Amino acid sequence: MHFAPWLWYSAVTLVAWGIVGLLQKLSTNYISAESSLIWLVGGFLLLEPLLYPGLAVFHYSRWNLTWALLSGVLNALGAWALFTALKSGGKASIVAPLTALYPLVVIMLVPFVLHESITRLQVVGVVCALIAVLLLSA
Amino acid sequence: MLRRGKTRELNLALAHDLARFGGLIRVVGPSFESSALGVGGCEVPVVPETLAPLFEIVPVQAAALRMAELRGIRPGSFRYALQVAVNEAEFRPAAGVVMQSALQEETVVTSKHRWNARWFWYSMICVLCWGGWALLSKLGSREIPPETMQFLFTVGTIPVCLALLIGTHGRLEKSPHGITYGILNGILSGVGGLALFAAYHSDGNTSLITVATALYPMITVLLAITILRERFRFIQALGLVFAAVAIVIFSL
Repeated sequence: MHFAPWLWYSAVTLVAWGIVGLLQKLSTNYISAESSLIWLVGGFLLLEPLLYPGLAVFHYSRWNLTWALLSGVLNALGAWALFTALKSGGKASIVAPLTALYPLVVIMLVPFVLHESITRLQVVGVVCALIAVLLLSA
Repeated sequence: MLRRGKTRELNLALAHDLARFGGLIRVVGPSFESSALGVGGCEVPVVPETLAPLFEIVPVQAAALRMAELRGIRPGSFRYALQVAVNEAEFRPAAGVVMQSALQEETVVTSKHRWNARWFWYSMICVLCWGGWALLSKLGSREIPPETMQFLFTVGTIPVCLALLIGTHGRLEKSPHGITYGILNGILSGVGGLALFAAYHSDGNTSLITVATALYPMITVLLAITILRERFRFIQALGLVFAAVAIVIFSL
């Protein structure tokens, strides 16, 4: 086994977001999902001074800056849509696994947008991961 | 109502929650249950589990119906919440629920067909938004370093948050526990986001990174079982096995 740098970084994300998943369960014992999202962005804002790039940010291409900002918009919109799905009578045991399948969108678009491909063995890994996501979030 | 069946633990947790917020708890069930909880009770005989609803639920509901009539409240109407969703497919009236079904007629709101259910389309919007978020994160990360990506990402979330605040008429719950968890979640999500942008910034494969990081429920499940002492279900065990296989394949 060989953990490439991307896999190490992904493992950090996995653990951090996994803990968030647990804390999210606990936070909604006290406040609504919407309030929880707003306070979560409050936590994001606390990190901002540490990440502040200064004027260097204007050196990057205008398109890439747009993608970065839009990624934030879409992430928060996704969370809002998830809460609304749950409030419109969707059962969490169905909505959660369904929304956890968002990597499928990426997998379908990557060949056209980024011209990347994966090996057959990696396809098996992706299928296993998607089944795992479905089973774990049910 | 504390039946000794499968929902006993849930009922106990609900009773404790109600008590925590100043609710008055009365146990309708065998006397040993009320003495175990140390609260007043309404004793009913010990009967087989299938018959328990008849003894434990129906009389209480009949009394509640009469009390509502006396106070001029229309039974089954929603006074404090918008609606309670019940999935029709799983709504099988049992002996004790026959009366309940008359009261709950209005609560059955879930659409029969998934395709014209609003929740389904909101779920699809969520999938598309999150798919777009992952893809755009990669596109931006080709040039922009992780710290700046996370900085800009946060700036992007602010307008949606403001819209959400306006939508809820500025009603932001301020429970100290809720705020602490929320902010802690934000910091941890930010750290996770930084690592994700770092992964995208490296030359790793976009699909594999997206799928690998989407496996985070495996950590949540493991923590919920070890820390919250939640029940370990077979389906979760199966999920963990698939996740492990996927990670091993990604590391080959």
